[in-house]
Amino acid sequence: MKVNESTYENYFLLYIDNELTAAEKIAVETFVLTNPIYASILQQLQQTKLPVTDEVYEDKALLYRFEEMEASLDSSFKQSLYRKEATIIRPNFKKHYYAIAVSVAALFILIFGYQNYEYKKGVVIKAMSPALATAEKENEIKQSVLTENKKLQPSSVIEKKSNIGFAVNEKVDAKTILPENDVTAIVSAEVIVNEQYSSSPISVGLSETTSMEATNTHQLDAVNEQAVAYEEIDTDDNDRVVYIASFEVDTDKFRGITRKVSSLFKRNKTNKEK
Amino acid sequence: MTEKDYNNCVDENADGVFRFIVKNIRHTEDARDIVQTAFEKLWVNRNSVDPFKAKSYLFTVAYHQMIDHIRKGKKITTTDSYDEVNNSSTQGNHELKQVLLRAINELNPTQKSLVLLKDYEGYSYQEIGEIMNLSESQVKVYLHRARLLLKNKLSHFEKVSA
Repeated sequence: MKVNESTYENYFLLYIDNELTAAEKIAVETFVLTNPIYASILQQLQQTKLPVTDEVYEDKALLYRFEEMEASLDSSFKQSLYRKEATIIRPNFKKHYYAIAVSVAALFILIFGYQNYEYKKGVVIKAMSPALATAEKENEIKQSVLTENKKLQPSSVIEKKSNIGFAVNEKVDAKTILPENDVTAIVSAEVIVNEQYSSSPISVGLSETTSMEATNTHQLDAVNEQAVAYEEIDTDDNDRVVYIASFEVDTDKFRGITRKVSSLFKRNKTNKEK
Repeated sequence: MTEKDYNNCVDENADGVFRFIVKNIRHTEDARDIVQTAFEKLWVNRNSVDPFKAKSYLFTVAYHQMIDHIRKGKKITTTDSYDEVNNSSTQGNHELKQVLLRAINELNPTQKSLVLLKDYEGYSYQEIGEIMNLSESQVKVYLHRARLLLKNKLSHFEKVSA
């Protein structure tokens, strides 16, 4: 086989790799001399040879071995001198395992999110009718007061004073004016007064019912405060919000994401079926 | 292979094996580890290794260690750990050499190893085939393809810079 226009490239490559015999090398050099246009091609191929570099392995002394020394050293000690590499654990999950894991996680998120949403919805419904809630609480308090007042002495005197401008002074002799059964009326009257002037501090006379009145006013104040708190929650647009763990998520956006994910899974499935 | 042969082999080939590995994986510490492992294996098997074939034995072991290293997904190209340009010879056209080194690093690991074994160690196609577990004709074809790729990249650079 001769060096010519169709075989020159192979010969040039073998020439720069030093894989030709002496006769073939001379043949290549003669071809280049007689056809100068190919000289540049040979030169370009020669430029692909890597330049000489001077990398040095610095700690050659560590590589030297001596049988006498080897015999005296424990093999575990020698092994301990080598650099230990951290093992890398790579979970070898397949694609369908990932899909299952993602779907299970999504299911959990949906269940807990829905539960949280339902709970929140219940709170909101209560918050939307604060009057109803306060009325219920008042009834409960009245009932408790009624039962407790029944135990009190009927001759007790109730006195009330208000610090703001007009004073409400009521001296009621339960024994003389009202019969024993009408204690409820007195208590309800007191409750109404307390509701109307709840902002003013009330000084109570030295009677046995003082502590009772005080507790009643505190309870009613608490009821009023709770009602105000519910009103504040009511201002939010809670219908669009779902709580996932401690995160607040817009349901519309979340629904959009879940639809996209499910459509992707469906698309993959149809592609596989095809 | 005697103890003396082994230690002579360290003197003669440690730098060459290290250069071959470090040029491939471009990480000095990992290259040092691979060289150390290769010499450890040579020492353990010294009784069965012919002193005249110790060099090719070392390159074979080091090459396969390197392949394992690459397969494990460890650092293959970390520009911070090894500065090739500064280590290269300063003779000739410096820019062209930089382009060549960059082009070498763009070759696949097999082509890169072929070029390195041929140009740095001067191994024949047959010897390279034994080290890399390839046939002589495969070595020839892969190496020629690598050379033509490098040539195209260099000629493209010359056209752009002209």
